Amino acid sequence: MDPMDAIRVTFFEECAELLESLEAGLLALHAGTQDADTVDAVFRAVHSIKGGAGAFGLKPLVAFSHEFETALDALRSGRLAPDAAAVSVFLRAGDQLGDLIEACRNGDTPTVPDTADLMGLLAGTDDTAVSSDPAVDFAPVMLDLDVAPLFDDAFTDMPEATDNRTWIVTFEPLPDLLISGNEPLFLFRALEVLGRIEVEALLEGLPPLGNMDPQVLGLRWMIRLIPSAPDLTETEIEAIFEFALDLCVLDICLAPAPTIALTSAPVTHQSVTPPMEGLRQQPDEPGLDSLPDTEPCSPRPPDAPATPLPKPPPMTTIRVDLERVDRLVNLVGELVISQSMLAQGMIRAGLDQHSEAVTNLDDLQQLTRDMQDSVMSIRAQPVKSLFQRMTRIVREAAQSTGKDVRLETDGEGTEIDKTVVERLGDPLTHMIRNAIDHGLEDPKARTAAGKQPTGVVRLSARQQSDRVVIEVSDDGRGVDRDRVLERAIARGLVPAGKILDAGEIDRLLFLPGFSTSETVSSLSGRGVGMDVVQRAIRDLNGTIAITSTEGLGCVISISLPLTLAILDGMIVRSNCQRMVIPLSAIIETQTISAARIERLGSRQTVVQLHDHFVPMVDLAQGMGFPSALRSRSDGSADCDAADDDDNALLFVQSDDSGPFAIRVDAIEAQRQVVIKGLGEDFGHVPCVSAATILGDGHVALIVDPAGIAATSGLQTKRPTPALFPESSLQ
Amino acid sequence: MNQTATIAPSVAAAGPVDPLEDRSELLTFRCGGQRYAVDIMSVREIRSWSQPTPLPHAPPFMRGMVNLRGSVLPVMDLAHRLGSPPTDDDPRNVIIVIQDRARVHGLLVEAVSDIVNPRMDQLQDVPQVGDGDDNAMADRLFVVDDVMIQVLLIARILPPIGTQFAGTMT
Amino acid sequence: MRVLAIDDSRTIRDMVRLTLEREGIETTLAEDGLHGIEVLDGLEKRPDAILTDLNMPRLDGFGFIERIRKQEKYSGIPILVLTTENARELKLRARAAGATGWIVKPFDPARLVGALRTVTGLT
Repeated sequence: MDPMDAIRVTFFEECAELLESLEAGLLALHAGTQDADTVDAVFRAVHSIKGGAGAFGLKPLVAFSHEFETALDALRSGRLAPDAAAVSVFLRAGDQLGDLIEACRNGDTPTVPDTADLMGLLAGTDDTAVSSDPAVDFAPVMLDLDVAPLFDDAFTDMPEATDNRTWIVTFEPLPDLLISGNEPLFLFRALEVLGRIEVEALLEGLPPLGNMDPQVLGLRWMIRLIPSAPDLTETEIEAIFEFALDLCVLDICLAPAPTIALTSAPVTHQSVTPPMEGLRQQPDEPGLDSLPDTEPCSPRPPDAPATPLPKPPPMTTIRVDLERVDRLVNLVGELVISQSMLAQGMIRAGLDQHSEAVTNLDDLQQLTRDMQDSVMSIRAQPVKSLFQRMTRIVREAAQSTGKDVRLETDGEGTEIDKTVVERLGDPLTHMIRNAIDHGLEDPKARTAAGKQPTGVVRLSARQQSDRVVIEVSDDGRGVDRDRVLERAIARGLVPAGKILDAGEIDRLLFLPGFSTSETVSSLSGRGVGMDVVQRAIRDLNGTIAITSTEGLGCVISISLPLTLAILDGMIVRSNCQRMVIPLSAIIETQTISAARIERLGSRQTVVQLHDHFVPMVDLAQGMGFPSALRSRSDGSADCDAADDDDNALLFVQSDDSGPFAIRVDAIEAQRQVVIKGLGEDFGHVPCVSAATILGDGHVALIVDPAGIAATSGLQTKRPTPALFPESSLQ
Repeated sequence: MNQTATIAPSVAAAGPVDPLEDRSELLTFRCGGQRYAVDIMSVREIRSWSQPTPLPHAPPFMRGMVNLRGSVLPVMDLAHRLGSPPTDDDPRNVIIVIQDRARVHGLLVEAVSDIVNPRMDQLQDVPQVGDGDDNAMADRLFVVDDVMIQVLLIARILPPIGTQFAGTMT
Repeated sequence: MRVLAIDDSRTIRDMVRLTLEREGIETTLAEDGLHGIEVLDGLEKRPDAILTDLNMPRLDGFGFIERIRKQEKYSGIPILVLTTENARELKLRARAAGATGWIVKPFDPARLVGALRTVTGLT
């Protein structure tokens, strides 16, 4: 159910409750109980109904409840006495309200009941001024400066003024601004949405430091705003300061423009002033709805005239339901599948590669690929918000570890799929905390090492062909390899005396439960290490790697696909079944002939990977498919007896177990496939993460290596040291 | 390649069922050598046979998945599900695509027969015969031309949502 | 961003939560001023902003704001008043109590979120 529908149901349920309490309250008033609480409850009942009605756009309900509420307000403020006559009017109004609500719930558009009686009640009170139209928001009225009529036709010959007029905003907060929770810095940041700003603090008149009151802002600022949209109005600028208008002295005016040479007869034009010129803001009378005028700033000494800036197109955005975007993404994915099927069909039908039909299809496929890119980019979001969240993490981590840390970011505008951005939050947080906790040294140690006392953590993002690379780096002490190796040996993850190169030691950090800190730091927690981060990245079809330089720092590099809907996979064949293995899980591949395979006992087969032996599993067997070769019912040629020479091994890595090898009959192709989630109907399918539809129209399973490891009973959590020849003899 | 027939339009064209006579509209078909029927309203379309992609560690009556215009459709061997031996692979087999609320499923059957409109009084309760599986799935019986047809309830045929597929299941 | 939203109407509470959580803003709810203070005191970390209705039983919006503004530990938290009224007097009164700003109901979701972002400087 659309969440709004659920809330709508809640609303009508709540209305029923409110009507009950309304009636109960009114009856109590009628019976003589006339305390403030009862009256307040009655008022609030109608007030709440009005609020909810407004949220759902139920205009007649809003209108009637508004009148009702106004009358009740008179009651509440004592201007109206709750005598029998008044209460009976209210009771009747309550009934009418109930009918109105019922009609709205049924979807009718009823007419607003006659409110003469309610109004009659008010006639006797002083309440003549009804509060303004409830639908009007406080935001300053939009000034539509329609300046066209002021200009002569001659102006159409005028060379186009290409400069965006620069605005000068002078902002002087009044003493109460900070207390009200408004923050000048945030206001300036909000201004940045409108364009580029240059902020200058005006320091004349500041009291000496000793006399400054920390609660009172004695500062003033002058802000030059170079708008990104040429038609920026003063009202838009003012809207930023909306909540603070009465708590500051605000002046907004245009910087004087450079003179423009007119080719036609110059026509003097009046300085453009808004029709409501009478409302000048008086500094001594801060108002909540006053408007400064828009005359060009004259009293201030003009700076160098604003240089004409190239006009960037105004940015318009629309809000779209994410569901709709996802549907679109799905449809485009299916379109891609359809086209591959068409292409395959054409080949099978024997069409010439160079025939018109095939060429046209190529064009179509290119268009579809472009469309797919476009659609995917709708869901793409800059990582900026994610990076900004990290500034807070850095602050907190620095504080709790007592270290000096600065966060640098680069490539904030790099875009990546929305879900990926969301799911990167936790991993990035872990990594940054680790970097600050373990990587960076404290200020003293840093100075001793000849570094700046403030450590730097750097977050960067960049696009690299069809992937996005995000890096977290620090300039700390780097991975303490001796200690890491020591720890690994102590925990039995690595046999004693083993020689590992720098990179291999660094990779040990990704093993589960690996944490070098003796004291469990409150920050990084116990064992919340890189293995958790790696799993999260793997879940995003990404890869992660560590590079560390002793004494200089550490770089963690994450590579992510641009989208989650598409997977880079290896299409393999096992026992007449075509399946897809995600590329990100594959460490390397090997042909059977080149592999060194040994048997371990009677049931397990192992094969050598670098200098270890890892278990080997036949794919079809691992998936639980019966071993008899299946023949296709239509006798198609897709499944010839596998040519043994084609047999291959894919070494895969899953997080829950060490690397192992998957034996397949043949590796067919590397392809990008559209991921089709298996719906609820399938329940939990082991060994499978999703499905896809191949070019020939058949469904292929996307293999989950971790699942295969689990169902095959692969227990190993660490690479088994290479067996010496004698120990393999049983 | 695959031919599909969408049921809905032709049913609509046949005209509404006479409200005075309480009748149900059923699609009858043959599988496992027996005749069955399902409510026409739950039938989305009928597809000709295509080789399903098997699912790992699936119960024996789950044949696998087929491509239904870009979506993945689970296909169940109905005969096997009802306790009969598995259906042979035959290009003349048919997949009935049924829908129960949001769940869409494919039923592998031998052939589709007809659309019938039995009156409510023609539908008999299923007699209790031991505790055979197909008794549980069939809701009603009726007879057409001396042939007994079991009316199946879709909701009972489909495996419960979220069932663990590992190993065998009843 | 974490926001505490206080309103005696269940409908409005649900709508606010729906609107904010869609934008990734963590939302805690309370149903009147007193409940709001209880919830606030019980929070592990103080919210980045508070959204409150004015008309509520037990302790209304003004009362809530006044009390909060008296407490050092909550100083500086932006408080936005969510209300159906547009009357100037109400705004002045809210301002006097210590409100940071106001949003009128029915609220435009984009406006609410935008205002929260501006006053907290967060996304």
